[in-house]
Amino acid sequence: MDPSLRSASGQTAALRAQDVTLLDLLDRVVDHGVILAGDVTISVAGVDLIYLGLRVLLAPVERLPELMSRTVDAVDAVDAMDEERSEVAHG
Amino acid sequence: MTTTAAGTRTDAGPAELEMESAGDAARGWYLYGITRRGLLAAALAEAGAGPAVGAGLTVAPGDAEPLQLLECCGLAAVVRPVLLADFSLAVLQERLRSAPELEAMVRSHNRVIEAIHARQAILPAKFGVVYAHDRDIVSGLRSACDTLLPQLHRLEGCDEWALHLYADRAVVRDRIAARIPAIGRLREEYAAARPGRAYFLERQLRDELEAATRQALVTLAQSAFDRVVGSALAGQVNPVGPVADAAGEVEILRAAFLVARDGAEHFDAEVRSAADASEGLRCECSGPWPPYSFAIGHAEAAE
Repeated sequence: MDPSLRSASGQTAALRAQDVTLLDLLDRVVDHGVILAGDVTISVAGVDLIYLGLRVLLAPVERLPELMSRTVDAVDAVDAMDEERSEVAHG
Repeated sequence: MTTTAAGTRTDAGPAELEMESAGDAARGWYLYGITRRGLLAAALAEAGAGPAVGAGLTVAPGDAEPLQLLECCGLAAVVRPVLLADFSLAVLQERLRSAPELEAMVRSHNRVIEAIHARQAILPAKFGVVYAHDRDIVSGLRSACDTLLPQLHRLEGCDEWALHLYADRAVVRDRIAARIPAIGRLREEYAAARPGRAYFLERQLRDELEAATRQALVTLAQSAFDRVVGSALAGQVNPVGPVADAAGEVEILRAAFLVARDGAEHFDAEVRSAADASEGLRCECSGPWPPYSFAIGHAEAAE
């Protein structure tokens, strides 16, 4: 069962509860956590994209420009990584 | 390497690992977290019973490979064999477009960690990290065991709680305006001033009121954090959203707390007290979570 959200009065807060717990979940699962030292890990850059994408979908309208610009930056970074890989592969 | 009926792999020699990896290049190892050695096979099977992260979401839960433990130095990494192709950048970028699927992936990751967290302490892994070779995970456990074992010991019997504190900006501003003598004097001057001077006085009043309100919100957030952290084993302040919502409410504190289970009632009472401490405040608290914010990786621990 997923963690619940409670208001300060101890009552279950149905309004926005799902959004808040999802944002709390994202803050925890994607932003934090152990990464063991290892020679080969993949997916981290892609997951950062996922995280940003979800935040864009869930964010208040006022924050969209800021988050969209971060997403674009992240996409550019991944594209640059792809280009580097391609150069290595063909170089 | 040996695989027991319980799905547990014990520390193996490099040559043996190399053979297996070379023979199965398309597989990777999705890491959920690190726990103490000795997790029961039944608990592992239960934790892995839900839909799996990745391609497992598109098939019946039973079709995903079962969870496994990679053990070394008293530690056990909770992993699931996955297809590397399911975690390529192209696939992940495609999934970026589907919020429900991504949410399901995140929840699936959390579900496994929660199931183990309910039985014994676990250091959650960051979402979406796939290792190409299980030997990388085993060597990571070996090199980090001196820092990971004490962390697990510290987190045993503890949960994480997330706290959001919101303030009604207008209520706080009006209260501050009534309390600060300089603002009261400015208001009197403004009321009696001629139009030209009134314009400048209005700007000054607005700026001073804005600065005083900002400071008051910072003070409210700090005193709430100080109050609540007193009932927790540790606390961490996270960035808040920068804008007020349509109702003029602004988030002034977003924090995570590590709380002993037997101290949860005390923590809850302190959260309520923090919200009741001043008019215009509202708290939301979610949890219990596995201790994501209080698990640190090897590199951070070594700093």
